[in-house]
Amino acid sequence: MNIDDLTDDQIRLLEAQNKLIGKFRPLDIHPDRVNIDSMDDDQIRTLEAQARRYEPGPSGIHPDRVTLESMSYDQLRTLEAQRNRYEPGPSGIHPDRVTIDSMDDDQIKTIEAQVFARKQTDIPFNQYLDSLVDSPVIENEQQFLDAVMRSMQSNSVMERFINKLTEKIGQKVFDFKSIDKNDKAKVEAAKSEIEQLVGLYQKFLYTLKANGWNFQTIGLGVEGMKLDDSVSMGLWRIQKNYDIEFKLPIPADLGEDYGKAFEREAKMVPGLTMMYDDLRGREVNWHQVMNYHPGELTPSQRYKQRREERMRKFEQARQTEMQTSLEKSMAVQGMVR
Amino acid sequence: MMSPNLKETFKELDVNDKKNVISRELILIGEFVKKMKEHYDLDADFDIKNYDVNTETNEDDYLLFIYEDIFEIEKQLISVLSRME
Repeated sequence: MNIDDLTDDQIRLLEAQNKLIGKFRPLDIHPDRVNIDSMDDDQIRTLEAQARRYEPGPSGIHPDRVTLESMSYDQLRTLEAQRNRYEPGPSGIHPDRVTIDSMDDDQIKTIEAQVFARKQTDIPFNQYLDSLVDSPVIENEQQFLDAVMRSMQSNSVMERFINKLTEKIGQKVFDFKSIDKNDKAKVEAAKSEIEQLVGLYQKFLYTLKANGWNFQTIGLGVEGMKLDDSVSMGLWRIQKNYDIEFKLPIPADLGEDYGKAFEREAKMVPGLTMMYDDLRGREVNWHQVMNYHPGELTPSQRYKQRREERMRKFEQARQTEMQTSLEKSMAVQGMVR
Repeated sequence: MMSPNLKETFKELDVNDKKNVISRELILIGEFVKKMKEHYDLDADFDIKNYDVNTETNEDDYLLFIYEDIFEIEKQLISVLSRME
């Protein structure tokens, strides 16, 4: 095709097309496309706000995400109520559980009657356990086991027994210091009584453990059963001041180092503390607690035994050397004479 | 000199027993010195303290305690030697 062959209309159309192409090509941007340069300030601010909605902020939290800080008081209350429906509260009582406040009089009377009946059946177990606190000797193992089992079903039985027993141990430890050091019979009797009480206490705890009692249970957990620290300290002082050694639960397999510490600080007492760690199910290694068996040497006794044996060997070696020295001296004197 | 056996058995002792043994040896030496002083008609009125393991002394206290005894024995020996010469 030649330009000379085109009509005037065709040429005008071509010129119009060329003009149109020329207009687009230099920028390669469609004239309808919105350009930042063509925007006013309001448009730019809107665009920036839109961009922010889809990018995480400096905290890494998307600005659209609902945070506690962004909630109203009512929203927070609603959220808390929702959460409480599915979690026990600080009291350990599930919020959906029927409470006394939601009951009518008849329901309350029924519950009271049930509690009364239950308490009546607790009485013989309470009486038996009370008698054990008064005289801590278990004559019938089955009776003791039954009482322990009952205490696992009735918190009041367990709580009553533990409270009475630990109070009595505390009282006996407190009373000990008024005993005359020279009154050996009284010291021995008081010592034996404490040993029996702590032995009973320990037996109760370990019987619970043997029967699968969960010491983490909310309420009377292991902390609630713990002997007061002042009792442990009191036992420690009695040992030091009266130069006696309680036959109480002690850690086993502690080796010579523990023996030294035992000797120095009467470490028998922490044996009680470690018992709780054992009951809690924590990993214990050398803290493993064992029952004291009559006739078995405690770490302190083992340590004393070794110490005495070393002293004996030294004395023997010293005596031999003295004798040898004297004999040599006599021999020299004899030679001189 | 001490025999190796005696040294070894001494090393094995509990630290409080070692202190007691040292104190006991000094008391014995003190007694020998007394005998010597009596032999030379010298005043033998002096005492070597007995270290009590139950008194909880620290290392410094113990060294002072022992040094007092050693110095006392030395003084008594000097008086004996003076007489001998």
